Amino acid sequence: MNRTQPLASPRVVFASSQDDRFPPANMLDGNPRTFWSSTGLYPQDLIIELDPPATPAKFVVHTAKVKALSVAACPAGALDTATGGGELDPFDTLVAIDLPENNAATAIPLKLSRAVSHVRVTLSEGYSDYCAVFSAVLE
Amino acid sequence: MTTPAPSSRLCLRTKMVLLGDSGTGKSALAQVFHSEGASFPKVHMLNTTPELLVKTVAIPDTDASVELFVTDLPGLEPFLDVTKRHAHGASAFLLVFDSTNKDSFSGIGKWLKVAKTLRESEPLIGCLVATKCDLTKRRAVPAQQAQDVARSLDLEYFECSAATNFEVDSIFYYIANATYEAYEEHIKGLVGDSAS
Repeated sequence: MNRTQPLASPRVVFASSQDDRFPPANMLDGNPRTFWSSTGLYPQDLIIELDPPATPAKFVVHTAKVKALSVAACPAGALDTATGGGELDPFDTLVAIDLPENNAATAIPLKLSRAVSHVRVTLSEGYSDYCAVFSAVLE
Repeated sequence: MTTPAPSSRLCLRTKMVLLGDSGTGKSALAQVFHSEGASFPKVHMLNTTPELLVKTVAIPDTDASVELFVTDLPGLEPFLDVTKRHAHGASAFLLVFDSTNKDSFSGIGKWLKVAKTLRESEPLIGCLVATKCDLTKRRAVPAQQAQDVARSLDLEYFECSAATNFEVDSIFYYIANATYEAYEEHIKGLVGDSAS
């Protein structure tokens, strides 16, 4: 199956900080010049919802001033208390990477064995008090 | 650069640490600021653990506010390791000395060294603060001398009294404003980059 196309209609359902001028939706709008900015302190979390759940092969992020980040995913159905586990933290950490000071667009391969409904990016350390994400694309 | 939306609400967060010898009035300063003057600790309660007090300060003429995570750290030598560890992640610091105690003023060199080790990249926002300025008869460190030292260290200088709630707010407002300005610089840098 051709997985180089971005998945349909992802949306950001959680951001740990926000400046209304630079909202999280800027990461998904396809415009490389718009961005979301953190407003201080680390770690910062961003959660992207995939509806319907999917199995992206990679996560391409273009960030600024991020030193370390990790990606976690929530299996489809895990948040549904009726049928799922109802666990407190259904996210499984997939990968943690360090970035050089000059953040360039980075493709992070995701090894997913089943469909996920949410992907969480945790920006754990930065090169500055504030960091930004220009784009976050799941393919 | 796009004009911000009229009602842009922005809440910045910054961690600031209070450094200085034991007994200089760091906790009193933090508590008086946090309680808006309602609570002044009359008895010196020796700090052995870091205390976190959070307060939001609005930036005038903007829709922005800064949530200050004020970290009050122990000043005693045996707790220096604890202090250094808990100061990690701070973007601003207050170097506090007691205006009636010459030793606490000479001690700021040591605390400045601690502040400088907090991070290598961007410089931190820093202030030199003289406390207990209501005790004019017991004043031991002349204001001019402290001001000169502050200037040479590139720090903003403040004189205050936690007991009378004199000029306590100005210190924290300065930190909040400097934080806001640093954030706006960060944004300008990003918009500039993306436009190129």
